[in-house]
Amino acid sequence: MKKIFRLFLIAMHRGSYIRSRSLVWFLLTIFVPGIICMYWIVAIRQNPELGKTLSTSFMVTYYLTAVTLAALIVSHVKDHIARLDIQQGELSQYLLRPFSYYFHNILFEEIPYRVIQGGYGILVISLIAFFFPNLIRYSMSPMLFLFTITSMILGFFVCFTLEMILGLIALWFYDLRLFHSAYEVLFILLGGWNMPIFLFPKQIYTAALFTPFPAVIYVPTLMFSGKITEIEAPGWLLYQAFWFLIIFVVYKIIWHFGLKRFTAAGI
Amino acid sequence: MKRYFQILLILSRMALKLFAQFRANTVGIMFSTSIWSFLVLSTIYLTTRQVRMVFGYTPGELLALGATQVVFLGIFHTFVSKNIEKIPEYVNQGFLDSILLKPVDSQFLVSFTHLNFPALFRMVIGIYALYHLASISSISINGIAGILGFSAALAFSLILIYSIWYMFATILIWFPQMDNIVEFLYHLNTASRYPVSFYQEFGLFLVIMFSPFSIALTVPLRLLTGKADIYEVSALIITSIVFFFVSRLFWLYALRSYTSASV
Repeated sequence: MKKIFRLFLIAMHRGSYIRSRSLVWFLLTIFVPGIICMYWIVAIRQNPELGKTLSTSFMVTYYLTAVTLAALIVSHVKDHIARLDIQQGELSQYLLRPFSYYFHNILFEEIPYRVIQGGYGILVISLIAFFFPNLIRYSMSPMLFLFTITSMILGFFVCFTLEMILGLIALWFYDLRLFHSAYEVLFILLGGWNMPIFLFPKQIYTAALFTPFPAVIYVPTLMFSGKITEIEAPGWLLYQAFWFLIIFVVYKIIWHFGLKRFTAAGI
Repeated sequence: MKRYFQILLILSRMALKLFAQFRANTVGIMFSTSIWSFLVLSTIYLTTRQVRMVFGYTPGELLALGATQVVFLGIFHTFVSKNIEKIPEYVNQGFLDSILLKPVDSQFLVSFTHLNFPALFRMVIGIYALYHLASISSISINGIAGILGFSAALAFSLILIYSIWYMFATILIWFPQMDNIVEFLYHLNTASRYPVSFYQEFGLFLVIMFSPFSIALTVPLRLLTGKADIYEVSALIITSIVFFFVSRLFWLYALRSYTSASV
């Protein structure tokens, strides 16, 4: 355990080594939702009928929470796995370690970056809450807070496992742009990244719920912003747990068959 | 000038050969580029379907702005963005040396060596979207003059956005570790999806920051629909020329600090 903790500290050190790079990643996360949030502020102001169903404070809270949670939850390991570990053969060294590749990626590749970028997110949300207290509204009971934390953890695992699967596809294909683009677009669109998906037309909203994407950011964000009540929360947690289970089983199958194709010295 | 045009033709021929050689990849890129176009248009559709008019634009006009962005990005990603993506690699691994030693302008080679023809498919999607919006009367096209004005303005928009991208990428000569700045540039293009009147709602700072992106797409669209005035067109032309020369000077200045293959 002590050794693992030391390895984790090394990973944290590596993660904080180029902080400016992490800052650019964070700005990247905040930029598009920020612009769309600004759009909603103007749209609600200029269209009073829209103001009956939506409020500026809800939209600002939604987007700020979404970007902060995205910095804490959304994993980006797929490119690393595909390019370095599989196509350049670095996976070999991880196969020799006394813990699983999945665990290695969570602890040493992902968590350090989530901590640093999440820190930027929390800083931004705190500053906005301090200077513009009327723009953000959080009202949460201790029970709902507990549900929200659980939801965040489940969201992280859903996203991380999806990213692992997308990285492992490199064991079969060389050019992954199609898979990665399709994933990113669906994630942005159906994951509540561009707007809360309950604002979609009903059929698209229902279709979105049949995908794992809302389980990553959308559900924890709604819990944080108080749109999901204590009574509704367990149902949403079950939804996230269900998707995690499905995706994890798929990951295990892909890992099992994919590893047989791995040739160590690249593709 | 003629020599550079010939080099561009040779580079295009090479890119076309690659296009034909890896056919499965080509189809893959065409699909992925279509998916991103779908994202732009569907996002605008979903965010505007409940409003009647926002910052002086109807939902149809905002969709047309999105379609203009798709056309623009199709051309931009074909000729420019792949090359800008390579700049961190050139700087980090010292490949820039070989470019600087060639008897051709370094900015030209850095900007146009890799052409990505499958991305032109995105342009086709954007043109189709504009045609569709015109056919359902969401926008009215100002005949041949409108189409010519649109094409000419789009050329200046390309110069403008290229210059901004190039200035950002030039920073990498000093900070080669920040290679993800190129990713940020892809996101920065989102700012062009909304007109200047949108940024005016949030004060002068945002207007100054984002108006170059904004006029890059609104002016071509307004020329297409016959709504542009001489001031808007002049603003686009002057801004693009100024930005181009600034980016050129900035690149030449930055090259003095280039230290070859070291960080």
